[in-house]
Amino acid sequence: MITPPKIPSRFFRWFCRRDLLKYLEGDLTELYQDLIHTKSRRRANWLFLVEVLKLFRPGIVRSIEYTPIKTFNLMFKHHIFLALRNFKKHRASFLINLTGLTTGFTCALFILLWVRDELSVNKFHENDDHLYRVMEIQTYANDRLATNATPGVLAENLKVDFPGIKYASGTSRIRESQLSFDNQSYKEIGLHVDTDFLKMFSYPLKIGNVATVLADKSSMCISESLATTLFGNVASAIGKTIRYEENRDFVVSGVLEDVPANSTLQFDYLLPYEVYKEENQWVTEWGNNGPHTFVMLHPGVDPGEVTSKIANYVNEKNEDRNTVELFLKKYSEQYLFGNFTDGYPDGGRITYVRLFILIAVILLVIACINFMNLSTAAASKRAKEVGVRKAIGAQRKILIYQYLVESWLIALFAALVAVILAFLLLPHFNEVTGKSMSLGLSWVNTGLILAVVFICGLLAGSYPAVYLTHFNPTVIFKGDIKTSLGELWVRKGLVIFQFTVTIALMIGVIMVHKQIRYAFNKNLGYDRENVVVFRQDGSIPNKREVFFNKLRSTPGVVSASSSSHNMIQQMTSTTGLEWEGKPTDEEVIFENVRVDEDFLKTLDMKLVSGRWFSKEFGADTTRVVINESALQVMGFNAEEVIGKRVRLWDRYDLQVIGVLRDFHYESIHTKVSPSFFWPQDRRLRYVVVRLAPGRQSETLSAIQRLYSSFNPGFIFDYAFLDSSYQQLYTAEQQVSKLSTYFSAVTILVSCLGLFGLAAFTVQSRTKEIGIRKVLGASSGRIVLVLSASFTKLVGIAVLVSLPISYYAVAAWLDSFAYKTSMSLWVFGAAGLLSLLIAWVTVSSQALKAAHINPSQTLKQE
Amino acid sequence: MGKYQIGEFEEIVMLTVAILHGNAYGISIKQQIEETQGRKVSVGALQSCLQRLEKKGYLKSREGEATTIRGGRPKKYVEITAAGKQALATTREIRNRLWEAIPRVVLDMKFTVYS
Repeated sequence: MITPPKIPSRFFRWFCRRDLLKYLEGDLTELYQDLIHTKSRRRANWLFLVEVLKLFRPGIVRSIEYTPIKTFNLMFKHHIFLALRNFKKHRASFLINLTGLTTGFTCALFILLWVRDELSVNKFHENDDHLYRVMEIQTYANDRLATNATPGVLAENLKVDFPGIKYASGTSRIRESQLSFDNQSYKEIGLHVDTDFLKMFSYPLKIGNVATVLADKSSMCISESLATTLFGNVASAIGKTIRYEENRDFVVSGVLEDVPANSTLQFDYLLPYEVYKEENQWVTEWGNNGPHTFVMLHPGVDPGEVTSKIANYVNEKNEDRNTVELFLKKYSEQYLFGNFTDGYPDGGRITYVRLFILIAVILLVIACINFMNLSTAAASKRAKEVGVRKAIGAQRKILIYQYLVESWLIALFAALVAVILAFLLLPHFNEVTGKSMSLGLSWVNTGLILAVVFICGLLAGSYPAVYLTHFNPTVIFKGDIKTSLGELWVRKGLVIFQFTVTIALMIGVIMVHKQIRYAFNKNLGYDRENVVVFRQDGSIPNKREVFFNKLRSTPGVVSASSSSHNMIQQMTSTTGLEWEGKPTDEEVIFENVRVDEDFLKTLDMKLVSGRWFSKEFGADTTRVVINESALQVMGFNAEEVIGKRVRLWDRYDLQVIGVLRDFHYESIHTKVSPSFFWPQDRRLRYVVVRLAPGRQSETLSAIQRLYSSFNPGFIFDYAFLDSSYQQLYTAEQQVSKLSTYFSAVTILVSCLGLFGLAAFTVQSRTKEIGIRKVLGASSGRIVLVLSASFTKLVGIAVLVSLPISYYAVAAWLDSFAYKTSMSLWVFGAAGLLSLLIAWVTVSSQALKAAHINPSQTLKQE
Repeated sequence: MGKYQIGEFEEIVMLTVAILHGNAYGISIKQQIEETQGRKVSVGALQSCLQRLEKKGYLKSREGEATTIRGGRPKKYVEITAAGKQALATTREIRNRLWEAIPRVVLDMKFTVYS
């Protein structure tokens, strides 16, 4: 037999009346056999099609009344009606399910918002695809590091020498500066940029022409909000003169729209890069690093190719050096993939993004497991319903579908409540994350939410649906449903899984907290309490002696010192230090710290050997102190190094007089760099002051008065060192806070599931409990019996989760140069805590059951 | 009389069913008509006619055997009911009566014209 052509047959099957279908299909097939033997295949197919089309006539076409679509809708309505009725009937398990799913969804929604916000950072630039940052890998004998700092003339030269580059801009680093207009002063953040900058990045101008707005050396662009603050409105800003740092005037030539929150570059003003070069001669030398360099490639130019061409560019310009390698890093990628270890890319914030996505998935899965467990445990309650339906002819397919509709409906309810909750909690969430997200119900968001609802409904509903509908009606009505061993194992396995994940999360969160506390409390090598840092603005550098004398005599000031460093950042490094026994072909990088005599005392640092600078010893300008890391690099021991001579930049002969104990400049992600300290008058940018505890506000206002008397019109802008230090850990703090919330929720949801399950177990064992009591069991004994099985499950979960969390935590801690210990008590505590929570959850139900009078439970039947 | 009204095609189908006697189903009827009358009959036309006749009560059907040539689907045999026979008889009688009522002249003339 040859089967007739498919499409016409299908069409026929679709329209033909059901009662005629088999006969007519038979006729048609027989006819086709006839045709195929007498005609060519094409002709036969054609004739067959004609026959089918001729069959499309009244009397043979089935009526619309019987289309499955209609039944589908009808059943759907029926299912929803039944689901609602069931929710009402089994209110407790409905509420538990709803609460679990709602919490899960709410957290997942927040994570979704956060992740989308993280992913959007720096992506708003129209030229995003072609924007790159030029970075350097610097190789030294003691270090290999990737840095944003590049020579200040790199951008303009790259643009000339490499045709693949369309635009290029060097920029100064963002700094806070004082802007004044009409006797009013403000501290605002901003930077110097090239004329190409605004052509590359999408920071649109409200007023002004992109091509010319920063062309003139006296021009300046300010943000809309700064314009409003200074001049009242945007329109009148153009042409006004702003005094910059009380020493130079700029004329406003353009007004920018305010920088969006998802830009990592945040600024209120832009100045011409030429001005920066003019004011900082060192910027124009190839040997110095500092400014940042951005390029925009022509469309279609391969960044890898450009990287290979420019890699050696700086070395060529520096003739004898071979330590610097340039490469391009996609600008918008840097935010999430910005970490480098030894100069190799090593993730970045993306780790946290992935972590939170994982947490969201885990939460949803746990909430779904609750649903599965409760529904299957309650099977006996609903088995009769299934039995009756089956007996009157319901197909299993329809029953499964009914249960799925039920779980979708509950998931949809949960999603609605979650959206409302998210709206209410969003301000708080924004506060914790330091973002300003809004819950825009865009198509993407709505689509994602609906997708999650669909998947969760399916995940949560499929197992109960299949399980509940597999019973044989006769068995159900006889009343002896036996839960098979396999089913029990599934349910137990799910509980174990839930708790494994929960405990692992708990341990993770405790360890994150521990590491952050460790970072905050770690002895950095100096005392950062009660220390205030501010810049040496205006006339202070010229009258430093006088200023410091007055400062030290201010009541409440314990000690004051000048420094080139603000103590929370590495600032200037050099390879220009030579010492006896240094291999000639190696370059070693040192942090170059300029200080004065009071530095040690002010920050309460400790010496390992030798002495610190002191006026008593006279000309200390030819002396130097190194730190322990430097000692290690140079290969001396603490005693023999004293008195050794070192040479700096082939200009200065310095004698080592002391070794300072290592202290941290930055967050403890990074190791302490080898450093040297020498007293210098130049480039002492900061004042470091130790205040006496107590009366700090009075002392500060006294210092402010002193500052203002030297710098009339300047704003006194200071920071406490300990709070500046904490800000270095903003990311970790946010993550720790968020993960605490989320893991608390996970624990809650898991317990909710356990609670439901325990309640149900107790309910189905009331008779057993009654009999036990009649036979003389005490309440305690009964609680023990009921808790034992759950304890076993949680116990297994503890055993499984410990090694998993151990490895995960160890991997995370590896990203810190200095890390807290992996104390055993954390693991023990997490395990015990989860057991305790489980006991409390279960025994509340067990106690209730144990206190029921057996006469009540046994009198029926 | 009006009770047993059937159309021309219906009459042919019923007569063919009668001829096939016990072996009348979709395809066999179709082939029989095509062979004896030299006219093309579509499955659709035939089937809707059979449906109509069955509804009128002139035909009854039973499920037959399923053969491989039919892709395993059963045949639907039809046979004439008593009412069907009655209807055929009535139609035939009407026709006979009409023939008889034609004046001989008319027929003779016609014959002469063509012979």
